[in-house]
Amino acid sequence: MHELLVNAWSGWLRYTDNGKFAALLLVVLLFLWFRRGRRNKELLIYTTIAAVLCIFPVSAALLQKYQTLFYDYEWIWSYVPVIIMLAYGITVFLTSRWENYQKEVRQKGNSVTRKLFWENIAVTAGVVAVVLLCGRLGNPVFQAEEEALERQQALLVLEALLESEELAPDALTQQVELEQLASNALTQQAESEELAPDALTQQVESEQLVLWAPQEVMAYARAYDGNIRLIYGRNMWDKALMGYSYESYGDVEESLYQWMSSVEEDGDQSSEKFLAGGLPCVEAALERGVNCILLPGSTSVENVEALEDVLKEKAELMEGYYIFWLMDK
Amino acid sequence: MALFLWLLMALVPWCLGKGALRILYGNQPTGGYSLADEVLTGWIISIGLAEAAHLAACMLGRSFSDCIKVFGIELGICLLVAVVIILLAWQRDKKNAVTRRRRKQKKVERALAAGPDGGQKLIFVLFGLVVLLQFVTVVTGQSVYVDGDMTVETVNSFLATDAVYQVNPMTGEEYTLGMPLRLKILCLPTLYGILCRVFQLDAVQVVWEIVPAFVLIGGYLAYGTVAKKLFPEDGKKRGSFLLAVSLLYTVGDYLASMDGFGVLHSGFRGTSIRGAILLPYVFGLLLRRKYKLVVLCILAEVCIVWTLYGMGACLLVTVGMVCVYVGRKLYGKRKAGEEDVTCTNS
Repeated sequence: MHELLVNAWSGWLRYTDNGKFAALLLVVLLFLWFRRGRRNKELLIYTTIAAVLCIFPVSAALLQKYQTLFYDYEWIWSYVPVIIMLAYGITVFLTSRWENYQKEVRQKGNSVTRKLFWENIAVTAGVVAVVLLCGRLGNPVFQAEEEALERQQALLVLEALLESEELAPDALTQQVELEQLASNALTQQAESEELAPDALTQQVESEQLVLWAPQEVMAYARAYDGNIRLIYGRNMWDKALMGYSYESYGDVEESLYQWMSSVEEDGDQSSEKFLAGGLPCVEAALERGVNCILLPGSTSVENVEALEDVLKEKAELMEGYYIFWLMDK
Repeated sequence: MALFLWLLMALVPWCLGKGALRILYGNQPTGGYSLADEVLTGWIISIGLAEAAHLAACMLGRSFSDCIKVFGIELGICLLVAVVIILLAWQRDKKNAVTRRRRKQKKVERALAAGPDGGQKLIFVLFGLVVLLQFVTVVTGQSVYVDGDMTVETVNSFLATDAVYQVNPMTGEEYTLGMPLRLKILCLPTLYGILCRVFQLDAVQVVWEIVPAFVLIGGYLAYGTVAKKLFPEDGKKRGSFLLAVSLLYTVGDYLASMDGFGVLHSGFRGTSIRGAILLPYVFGLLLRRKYKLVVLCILAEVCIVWTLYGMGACLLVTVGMVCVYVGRKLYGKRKAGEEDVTCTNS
């Protein structure tokens, strides 16, 4: 419970750090409470109570428990109709001013009310400015353009991988179909010759693309093609995804990820250092069925050649990555 | 095929919703619910149908293809029932003198009513421009936020393996330890997978581009019902309300939990659909006392968001609003009682 209370308080500070909609909501609530005239009291009472419950740590902690700890503090504000009340308050405030202006025009004529007109324009612009200031104000949560570019580049690499001479997409589909036929034949053979079922599974699965690549390619591989298997997925670095299953990664997968990250950061490291970390990782990757390794294009030529010597396989440079095809390993 | 999907995602739910509202609300005058209610109810029912097909596949170990067939049969039956109900109701309305008179009266009122003035037109034009900008942002898929989400990978896993939750979407390997049941029962990946398979579209296109566009439109439909309740007689105020909502969405994407963020950057997520469509719609329905539809929204949330044994935000909001309504009624009665006593004494 103590942790929940601390989380609730720090969550409130986080919620009000980046944008001020919560503060604007409190202002709108005060305006609506003290305003003379018609307003939707039911919505107003509910919003006030819900906002207070979300701010005070004890009630906020209880609401967090209700929503389950799968979600952070900020999500309890879903129970408060923030957008509805803000829009309602803004509408009531501005429309009452403009209605007043129209009443003045009807009573006194256009020329007399020109000052009121410009006053209302200024107030409207001011309200819009306040809303903009309370919002994002140019501080994005994430770099949308950069991520879009990253996705585009990953797609190019993945398309190139699948279209390459080693593994054309139609050929992949045909290969899978052939494997199905072969697996049926193998099953019959196994029944007569008592082959181990694991060996059969490995033989059938060995031709599916099992990829080990830098983070920016691995991140989108299965988004663009569900037939690509990965040695580890996005949940290796996006820990929020670990909550979606009970699976976890072992030390081997962690080492593979760490080594690939080190190559991304420093492709110019010495060949000794490169191979010292890389050899055990490559061996482990091969044991796990990896049949395609990508290295970043920034990897030094010496390091690429060193790995070529180890794998006895020439790397292909495609779309800024060195590709090692290991289909027969 | 994408265009076909767009058309069907608008027409089929509308038909389903229209039939469902006839069943739920019988022969109440059409002023009780609108086109927005019909479309939103239809989408909620589609989620329910997808959930049934998903559970059948998940719990009975059926293939994804079987799941699609089950969904198709369910949808076919519901559409047939909806069309029959709509036709019967239309026939009945044609013969019913009261309904004919009411319709004629409405036509006359509409003809006599003044059209929108310059101010109202300006507001709706501005609103349209902002929504168009948001629509283009969303439908190009350029501002998608995927951290903490694996919907596309899950959909691709279903399509590649023709099975539901048999492999880890992150790696493509078979599960060894499995996944929480409370996540397994959520049906959105299945619904998206069905759309991909039936319309032969990529998961990326359906999940990151098409669905968020519909969520954006659905959100404004939901807020439209709220606006109609808050400002029943004034089109200008309704327009201003919607314009304010669109502005708040645009600048209010500073946190992943904000509704604006959900709508503009991750409309495919269950939490975004809840925040943009279900919750505003629930508030509108509660203000209009349409409790049967509120129940549908509560059930829809259970199908798309991780909740505490089925108790989600829609339920808590409903309980809160009903408590406020009942509290106000009791307070009003007590006050009226006290005034009676005062009058009697004087």
